[in-house]
Amino acid sequence: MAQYSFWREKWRLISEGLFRDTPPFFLVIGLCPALAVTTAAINGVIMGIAVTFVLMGAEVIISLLRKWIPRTIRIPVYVIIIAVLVTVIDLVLAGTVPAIHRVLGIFVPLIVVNCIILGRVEAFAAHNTPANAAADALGYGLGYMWALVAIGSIREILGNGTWFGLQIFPEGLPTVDLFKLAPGAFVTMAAVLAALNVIRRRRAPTSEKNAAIPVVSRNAAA
Amino acid sequence: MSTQTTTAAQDGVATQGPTLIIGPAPYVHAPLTRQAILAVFITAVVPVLGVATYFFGWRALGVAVAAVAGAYGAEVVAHWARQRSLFGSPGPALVTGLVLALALPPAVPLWIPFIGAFFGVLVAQELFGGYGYQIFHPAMVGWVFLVISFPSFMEGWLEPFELVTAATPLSQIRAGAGPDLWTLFAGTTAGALGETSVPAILLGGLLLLVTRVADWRPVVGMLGTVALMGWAFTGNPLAELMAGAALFGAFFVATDPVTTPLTRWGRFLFGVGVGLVMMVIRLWASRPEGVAFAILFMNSLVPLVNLLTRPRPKKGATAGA
Repeated sequence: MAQYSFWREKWRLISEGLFRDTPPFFLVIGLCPALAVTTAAINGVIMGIAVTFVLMGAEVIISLLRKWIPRTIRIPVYVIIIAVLVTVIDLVLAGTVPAIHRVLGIFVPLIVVNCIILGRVEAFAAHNTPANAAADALGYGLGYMWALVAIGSIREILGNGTWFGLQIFPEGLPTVDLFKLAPGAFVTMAAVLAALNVIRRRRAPTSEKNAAIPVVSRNAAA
Repeated sequence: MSTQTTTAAQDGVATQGPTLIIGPAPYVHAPLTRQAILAVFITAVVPVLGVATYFFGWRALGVAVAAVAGAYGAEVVAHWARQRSLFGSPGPALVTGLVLALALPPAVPLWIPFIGAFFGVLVAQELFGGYGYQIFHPAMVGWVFLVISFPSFMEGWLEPFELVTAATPLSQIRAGAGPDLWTLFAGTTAGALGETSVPAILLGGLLLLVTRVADWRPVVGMLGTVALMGWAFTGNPLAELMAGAALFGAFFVATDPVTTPLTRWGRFLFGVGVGLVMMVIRLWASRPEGVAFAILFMNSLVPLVNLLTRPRPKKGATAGA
């Protein structure tokens, strides 16, 4: 800890969730919304904001309370805190972006039981300082967001010819409706996962090249 | 000799000199090689493709060429990604491409068969390990992909010769006024390129059965079920058999050696299942025809069918007897 730097430590925590453990890609958790709501890139942004908000609030609050929460009933306590935050963001989204809120539908209330939130709270916030918990939450929340935006972008461009509502392909060009439907979500997800695994394998040290790269991180709890 | 064997087995590890490498079973060689099977299949498709060209013009050949090109292109791309030699045998691509092309409506733009075959072969065949390892029939996967993704392009039904838009006999039958049986038999009706002409399909199908490239069991199982359900629910089994893709599917798709069960009665059950699902879709679902969906559905049940129909030793038989 000779060269301890507050910001360097925070950046390490943020980048961990952002790049190394990007939830739907490398931890393969939080898949239901990643498959269900990613018909358009903008849905990914809104869903990402909701998850980041809930994760940030839950991690900071639970980190602050970590010494007073009895171990035996910690999960019910976590869920109550998360549920309050989810209700807040649900009502905020319903009031500010009603059209997208309708598309996201049940998946906003379902953030309560999202494995990313419970997993990070249990594995990280429960025994780290609030500042570190906030950095961790930011990393995982934004990591989730970019993953959803990536899937949503591919599906929106191929399935609708648009990106964030902007026309990418000329109007008359046929679009691949499959990507708007559920099977398209699975196909996209699988293709992105395969591509990222190939990239990771290429970048791994030679000795590890032939070994399978584990996709589940050591501190994934849920 | 027995002592010698024992010694050899005892010092096991220190074996030197030439080693006999034994591959997995089966060891029996059938006279029909993979190349020969594919060649017979392609020959059997020729009459169907010929009639399609006669009915719908040179465009039919164009669709076939585009589909084969798509299928072969997908193989080359997959071989490149897997660092294999790029250009393999064209047999599997020809079969998949031709089956897909003959299942398409005549008025499709040429990029449709190309994309469909490319997707079908890449996703259903190459991702599963290449030809011989696929679980789902690549041509049917390609067809379903096209129907779901480009529904507006998959309804270009044309009247033969005149090439004007027309309804398919199946939708006419459901509307209450189907063409007479002779017209259905001759196939001078609107429909997919390869599905209308009964004589051409029967000619190719018989070639498959006589050369044993195709097993008769899935054909009989499927057509029998279609006829039975047609008789029970519409009272017109012959029309149900000859309209739509039932015959083409029975002879050219349900007999595929890779994606169907291994056991004889399993193949019969497979045919029955395809016929059943297909008729349920025809009679009570929102689509007029359901051969491709039925094939894919039964493809997913193949391991179960294999298990259910696994041959058991006769009573009293002992191992090694």
